[in-house]
Amino acid sequence: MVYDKICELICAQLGLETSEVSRDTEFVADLGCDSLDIVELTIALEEEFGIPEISEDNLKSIKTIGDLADYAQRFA
Amino acid sequence: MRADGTRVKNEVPMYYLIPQFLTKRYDAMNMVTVDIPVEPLRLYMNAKRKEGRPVSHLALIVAAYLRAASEYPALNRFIVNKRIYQHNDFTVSMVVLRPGKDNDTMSKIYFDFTDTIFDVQSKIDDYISENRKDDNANALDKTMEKLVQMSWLMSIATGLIRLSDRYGLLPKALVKASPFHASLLISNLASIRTNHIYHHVYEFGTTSVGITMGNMREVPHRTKDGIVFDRCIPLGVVMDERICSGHYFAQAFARIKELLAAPRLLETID
Repeated sequence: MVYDKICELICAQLGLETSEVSRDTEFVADLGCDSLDIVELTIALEEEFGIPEISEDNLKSIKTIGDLADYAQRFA
Repeated sequence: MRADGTRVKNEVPMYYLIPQFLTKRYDAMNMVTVDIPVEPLRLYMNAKRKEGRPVSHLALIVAAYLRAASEYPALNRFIVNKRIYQHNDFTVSMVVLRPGKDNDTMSKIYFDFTDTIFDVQSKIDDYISENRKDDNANALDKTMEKLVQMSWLMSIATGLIRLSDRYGLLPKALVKASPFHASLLISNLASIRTNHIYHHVYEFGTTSVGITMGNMREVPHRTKDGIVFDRCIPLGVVMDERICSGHYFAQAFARIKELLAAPRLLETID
């Protein structure tokens, strides 16, 4: 559920089809995201799931969509 | 005579007189916030991502500024020792964060006025990758290390550097690596979730304009249907107003906004 919602948000933001991404998809290496894309995605996620601001340290450890889903799951 | 600049001649008298009264860069700094709507950038970036040629927000903003500087060349001026010069090249200095390390580094990138958005992206990528290497200390890092090792001589050495720079006598190698000697200073504060700021423009060196990209925000504007909100990247622009007039700056910033509203314009050179 959380993963599906995250995929939806990412695909809407980056203009992708959900079939083009998976848990292992990396934001930078596979999707060509820059730091602003990632910040925008995390803000959308914080708003969607009502989670507290993701710290810079936590953000650094989030490389894949799966990492982000696991992080959000803790607050869902 | 300076290796990094050419004296500006045949300008209206005001440009020669003002630096005689406002002798320091901090005497003449102005700030404006330029809001750049995100939607055209997002659509363009998504299209380029699909084509396998991703471009970043930073590259788009640098490319737009570069194009504006080619059309409004006075943006690339600087004033040292009360004299007005045109930079001999176009350089952008920026901080590079080193993942997992506390010591960020700073150097600069050389661009050509014929660079397209793809050239700009490629040069930024190379610059970041070079400066993030673990064992890499750039020329500025090395110079700073040497200066600090000189301990009590440090203030004499830095004083000599400042004096040499004032008279254009700084070694070329130092100027080449110095982030203080650039056409533009840019810092992406949004990447660390920080608002745009009034970033000081250094008195030392030759940088006349500083830009910070801040957290995105909603900016209202009036349409025939009422007030609508655009999501925007605010650019905090601080400039030395001795290099050109406020009107000239305003025209250049309007051109930057125009280019970023249609980023495809940055793919080719007319």
